[in-house]
Amino acid sequence: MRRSVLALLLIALPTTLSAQSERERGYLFREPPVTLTLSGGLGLPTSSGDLWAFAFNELTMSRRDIASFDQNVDFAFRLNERVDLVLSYGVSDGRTQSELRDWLDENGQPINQRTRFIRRPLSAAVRYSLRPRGTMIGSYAWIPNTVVPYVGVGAGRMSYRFTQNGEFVDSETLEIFRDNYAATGKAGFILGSTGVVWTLIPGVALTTELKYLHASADGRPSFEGFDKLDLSGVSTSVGFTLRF
Amino acid sequence: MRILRSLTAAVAALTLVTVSPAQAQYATSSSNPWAAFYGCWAPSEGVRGLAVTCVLPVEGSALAIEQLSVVAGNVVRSVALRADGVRREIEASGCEGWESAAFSVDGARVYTRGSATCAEGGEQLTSGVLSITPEGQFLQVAAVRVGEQRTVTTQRFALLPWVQVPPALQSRLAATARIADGARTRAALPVDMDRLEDVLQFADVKVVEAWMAETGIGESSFRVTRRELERLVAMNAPTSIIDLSVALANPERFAPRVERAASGGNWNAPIRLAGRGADPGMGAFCDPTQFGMTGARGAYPMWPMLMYPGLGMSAYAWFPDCVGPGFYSRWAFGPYGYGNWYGGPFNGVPSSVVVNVEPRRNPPGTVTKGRGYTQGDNSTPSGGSGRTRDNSGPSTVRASTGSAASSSSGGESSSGGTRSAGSNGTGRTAQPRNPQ
Repeated sequence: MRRSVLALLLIALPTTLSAQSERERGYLFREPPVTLTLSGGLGLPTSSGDLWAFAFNELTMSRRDIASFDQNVDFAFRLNERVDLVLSYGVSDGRTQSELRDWLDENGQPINQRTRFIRRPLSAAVRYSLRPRGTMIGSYAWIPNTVVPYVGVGAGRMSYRFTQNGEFVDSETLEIFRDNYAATGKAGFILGSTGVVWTLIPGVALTTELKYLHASADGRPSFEGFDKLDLSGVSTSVGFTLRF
Repeated sequence: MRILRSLTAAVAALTLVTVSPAQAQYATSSSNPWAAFYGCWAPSEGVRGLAVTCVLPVEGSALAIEQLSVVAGNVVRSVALRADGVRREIEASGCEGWESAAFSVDGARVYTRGSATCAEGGEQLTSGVLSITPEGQFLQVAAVRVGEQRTVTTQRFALLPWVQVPPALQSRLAATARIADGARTRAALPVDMDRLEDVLQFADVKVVEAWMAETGIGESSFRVTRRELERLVAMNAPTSIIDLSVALANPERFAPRVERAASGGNWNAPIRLAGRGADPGMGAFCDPTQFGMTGARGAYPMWPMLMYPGLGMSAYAWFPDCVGPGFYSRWAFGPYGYGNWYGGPFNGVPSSVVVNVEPRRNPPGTVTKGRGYTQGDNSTPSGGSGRTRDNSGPSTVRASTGSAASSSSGGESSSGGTRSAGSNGTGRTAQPRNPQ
C-alpha cells in the first residue's frame, strides 16, 4: 500500500508542481471529471461485541490501543454538478502489544502477546456536495469554491484479518504456550461519510473526512462460539485531492 | 450625520445618472489626444499605395481632426471629426440620427457610437473603437446592428513612410510628427483587463470581441485571473468575452481565431454575420453583388459614399452583408469607395470578421532545425485576409536551411515559412527581399 501511495504521489507531483501558473490564474479550463484523493488519518474500531470484550478482558489492551493509521485512495467521478461516484480503497492497520491481565510466569514476568487488526475496504459511494464544487465562468473557466462540504453513503467489501500471537495460558492446565489465533476473511459493509474539501489552488485541494464503516463477520477460524467480530469503525482523515 | 451620508449618496447616484458614459470618459489628460493617430495611413491588407487616409490636427481644437482621403496624391474627401463625447445630430440620404465619439480615459482609444433611422429599414446602431495596435498600426473596429443582425468589420492601417506622404500634407504633419511618434508608442497597447473593462463599457460586444482578438492574439502579455473573471461576470460580460479572455490568456490551450469574410477577392463566399453561429439568420448566404455595381467593377460590391465635408457631416454605405442599406458612420476611416474604385477590388475594404474560440486540438507550431518558422495547426480554414504575424498563440521558430523561401529566392538563405492552411493566415505570399 505504501508503495502504491508513493507511486501515486510521484504521478501526482508534476501536476502539483505545474500548478504554479494555475495558482496565479485561479481557475481550471473545465470542471474536473475525475479527482484523486490520497489521504491518511486515524482509524478507531468500535470494537463492540463479545469477542472484543473477551480480548479487552483477558489482555491489557483497550479499544484505543488498536487505533490505526489509515491510508486511503479515492477516485471521484463527477456525475453531476453536486454528485460524485467515489471508488475508494484503504488500508487500516492497528496493532498493539499486551499482557495477560490475570497471569504472570513463574518468575513474575508478564505473559506477552501481540494483537493486529487489519482491514482493507474497497468501496463505492455516492458523495453529495452541499454546495456546488465550483462555478463555470464562460465556456472555458471553472473556478472551484474554496470550501465545499459533502456527505456520502456507500457500500463495499473488505478483507479483514484479526490476529493474536504470543504467549497464552491454557485455562484448563495453566500452562503457558505460544500460539497464533486469527479471524480472517471478507465481509460486506456499508459506510457513511462527511467531509470538507478546501481548495488550495484550483487543481489541488485539502480534504478532511469523517467516515463511519459498519461491518461484522464471524471469528473463524480461531474464534468460535462468539458473536460476530465487529469490524466497524470510525476514521478521520486528511488528504490532498488532485483534480484532473 | 446620517442625513449627510444619505445626501452624499443621493448626489452620487444623481451624478451617475446624469453623466453619460461618453461624457464621463471625455476628460482625457493629454493635451493632444489624437496625436497617436496623426499621419497618413494605408490599409495594411490588400493592394496598397494608391489610396490612403490621413489624420491631421485641427488648429485650436485638440479633440478635433481632419480626415482626408487621398487617392493618387489628390485629396478626394475631407471630413472633420471631433471626439468630445457630444451627440451630434445627423441627417442625410433619407436617414436621421446621431453620432458621438469620445476618448477612453487613458486616451489610447476612441469610442464611437451612432444611431440612424432610415426611410427604409429600422434603426441602425453603430459602435466602433479606434486604437493603435501593439505593432503600431491604426486599428478600426466597427459594428452595425440592424434588429437582430450585426456585422463587425475590422481594418488595419499601416503608417505611411514620410516620403510617401503627399507633399501638400507634409507641412501640416511636420509640426506634430515627433509628438505623434511618441504618442503612438504609448498608445500601442495590447489588450489587458483594465482596457478590456473600459472598452466593454462603451462598445458593442461584437466590437469588443473583434478588438480583443485583433490586439490580443499573438500577444503573450495578457493574463486573466479568477478575480478578474469574477469581475467580468459582475459586469455582466457576455460569455463570448469571458471565453475570449480565457483563450487569449492561455494560448497554449486555446486557439482564438479571427475569421474574415473579405478574403482574396472572393466576395461570393458566404459572409457570416458576427456571432457564434447561434444568432437568428446567421446562416444567411448573401449575394453581395446585389448591392454592387455592375460594369466597370464587375461583380464586386460598391460602397457608395455620400460625403459632406465639414463638421457634422455623415457618410453612408451599402453593406454587402444582407443587412440592407447600412448606415456607415463618418467615423469610418479609410478610403472605402475610393479604394474600391481606384486601388483594386479590396483595397481599403474592411474585413467582416467573426471571432471564434476553440480549444487547441493540436500543439502550437514547433521548432525543428532545418525547417524554419511554422504555425500551429488550427484546423479550420480562415477567411484569408489577415495579418502577417502568427495569430495562433505561441509562435515557434525553426532554424532554416531555406526550403520554401530559399527555393523562391534563388538559393538565398532566409527564414523559411510554412503555413498550415487553417491558421490565421494572411492570404499573402512572401517574396524574397531582393529578387534577382
